[in-house]
Amino acid sequence: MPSRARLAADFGSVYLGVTSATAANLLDDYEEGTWTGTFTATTSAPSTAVTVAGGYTKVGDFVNAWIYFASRNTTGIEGSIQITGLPFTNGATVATGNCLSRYMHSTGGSASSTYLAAGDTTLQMIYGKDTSIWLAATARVSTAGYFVANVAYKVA
Amino acid sequence: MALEKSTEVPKIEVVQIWNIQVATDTLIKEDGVEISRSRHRHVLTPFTTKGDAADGWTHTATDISGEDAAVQAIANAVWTNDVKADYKTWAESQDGMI
Repeated sequence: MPSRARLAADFGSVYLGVTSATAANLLDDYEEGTWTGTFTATTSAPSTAVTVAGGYTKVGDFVNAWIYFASRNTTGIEGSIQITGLPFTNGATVATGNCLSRYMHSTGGSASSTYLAAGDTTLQMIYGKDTSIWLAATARVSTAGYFVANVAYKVA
Repeated sequence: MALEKSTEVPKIEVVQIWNIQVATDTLIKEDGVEISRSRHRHVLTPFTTKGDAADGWTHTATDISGEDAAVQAIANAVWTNDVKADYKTWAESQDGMI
């Protein structure tokens, strides 16, 4: 039975599922790690920084990053929700993911998604509405808020 | 048996003109032999931007004093005044972009 994988010439990558060097089948990177996410907002940040460790897995040029803020104090926060600190810069296409908030938003509680602009490393929380634009969810002051989010994107 | 913890920066990448992507590995060695390695990543931009078009913008310069010397050198070389100005323009253009 012929081999279904082939080492690339640099021995650092592999062509999967093929016996010839086909660019579409080249896996040239795999990485797992952590990143430090900060829960903040467009106008002002919480008076005490809200940061936790998130995780990521990168396969080829595609990364999935996730984070969970549990029982966090957002006193002082104002503006639209942002999570800064993603591990890689987004590529040329807008990316989205899922998110859930408890006590950490004041608008946009239903059907919410994360939103990552092209070339950016800051997540936003948006929600759909019957208007000409997507709307960014507004942060809420809480002494014990919860927020979980993920985003999957093609890196720059 | 001697355990030793250290960090190293194996990757520094400049993307999108002003973004500096940094990979930091934490190593655990036992008697000089590596037994564990984990990776943490962060991306540096020239400023942190707050505000909006209606109330004005605040661009706070990123403090890179705690970064690895090589990262500092790259940031100082890449973040020219023109690049900083371009970054501010881009950051402000993100307002209401959705």
